[in-house]
Amino acid sequence: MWSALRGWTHHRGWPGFLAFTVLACLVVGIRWEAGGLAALVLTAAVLGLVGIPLAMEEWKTSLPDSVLQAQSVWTASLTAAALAQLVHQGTTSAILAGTATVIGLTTGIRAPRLVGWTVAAAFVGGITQAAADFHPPWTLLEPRWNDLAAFFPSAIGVGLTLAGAGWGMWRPERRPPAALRLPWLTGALGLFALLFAGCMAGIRFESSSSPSPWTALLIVGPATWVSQSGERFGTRLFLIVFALCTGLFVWAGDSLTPWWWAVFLPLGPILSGVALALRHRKPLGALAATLGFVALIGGWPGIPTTPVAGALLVILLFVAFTLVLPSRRTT
Amino acid sequence: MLWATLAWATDIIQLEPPPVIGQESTLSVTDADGLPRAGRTVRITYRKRLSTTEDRAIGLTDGAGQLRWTPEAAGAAELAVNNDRTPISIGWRFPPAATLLHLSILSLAGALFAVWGSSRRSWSP
Repeated sequence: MWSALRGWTHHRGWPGFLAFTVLACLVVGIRWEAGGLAALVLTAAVLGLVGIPLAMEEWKTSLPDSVLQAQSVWTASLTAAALAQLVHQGTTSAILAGTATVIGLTTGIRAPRLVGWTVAAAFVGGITQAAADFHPPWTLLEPRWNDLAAFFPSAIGVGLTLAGAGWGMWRPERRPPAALRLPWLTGALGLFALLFAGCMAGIRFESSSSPSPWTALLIVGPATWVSQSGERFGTRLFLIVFALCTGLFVWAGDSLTPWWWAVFLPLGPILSGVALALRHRKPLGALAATLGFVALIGGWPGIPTTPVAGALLVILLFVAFTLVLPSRRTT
Repeated sequence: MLWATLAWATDIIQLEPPPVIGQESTLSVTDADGLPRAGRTVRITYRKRLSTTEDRAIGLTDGAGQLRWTPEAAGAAELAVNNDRTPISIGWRFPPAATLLHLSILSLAGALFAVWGSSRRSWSP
């Protein structure tokens, strides 16, 4: 498994990571309310019987550029549709903030040991709190095949595109060797991600409450651990994806994210961008700071209404970008 | 032991013991001062927001503001007194077999995909 992931990152790099973000967006397309696990079983069937074999065949076949371009447009359209659904659910700001923080923490900050232990303690607190709020997710996950028409289109769509999108097929110029079976691995990861998403959504469906602030630490804890895990890139990648998916699924469908969380989270990528910039990793630092900026804009509870709040925002952005963007040396 | 105290603008609902499918609970409706609310109509919506949602009347509260109720379905539900609605969670006696079966099928499929996709042969040129 690890060697496969290392190969994946070797061939895919950052485009592959972004592909996983696309995959995570597709995850939201599952109609849990309509079919429960029935929707996912149908998705898995389409994925295994059609989606993955199709992705494998496309990698083996040298397709004309026109087909590849059309495929890119089509996949981009699907991605846009998935993102539009997120916007409709009012979760974009929280997802942007969570994503940016995870990326920022995992790519930038090397937390001192004291900070690491503090976060580890908070992580334990988060697990404890989450366990106290736990309800089995059976209601939402209960398979409901009688409402097939409601979840059939989304299940077909996700099943057909999951392997290709997760594999980064929307960037056809970055092809790995055709002999690989990685679409199967991507499909498996996507399927487990979908299961995890369903369980998270089911637990939240039972509790009928907004996520506890402690839950957020479930993301920060692993992210900090990842940042301290050295250069074992396969492990880091897996944990990054895990933390990213956790962030996405914790807030998926939630419109009641606490305002302070949306303000707090962007500080992570901004700080990590600063840290990267100081180590002359300018492009990565710029990426992290940009994500932080997007998260700040997207997650801000409102346009600052007082001169002090406005001044703080301007100063924060100015300091971040002044430290990150001017570059003497790039990597 | 009281399982929950659910308060809103005018009425408070108390359930004792915690609602579990097929087991009787006593539902009490009082005002903010603890005085019983008699003659209140209580309704339950099972599986709110799902395709299999089901709305039923439980009954009227008696002079003590109480009502005996046996949940007919488990899971997330919503209690309504007049126009006020409050979410509750009705416990399961056992995890539903159909859900566990589907979970098993999906886990097995994911494991097979992963084993096949990460096998050493896949990395040979």
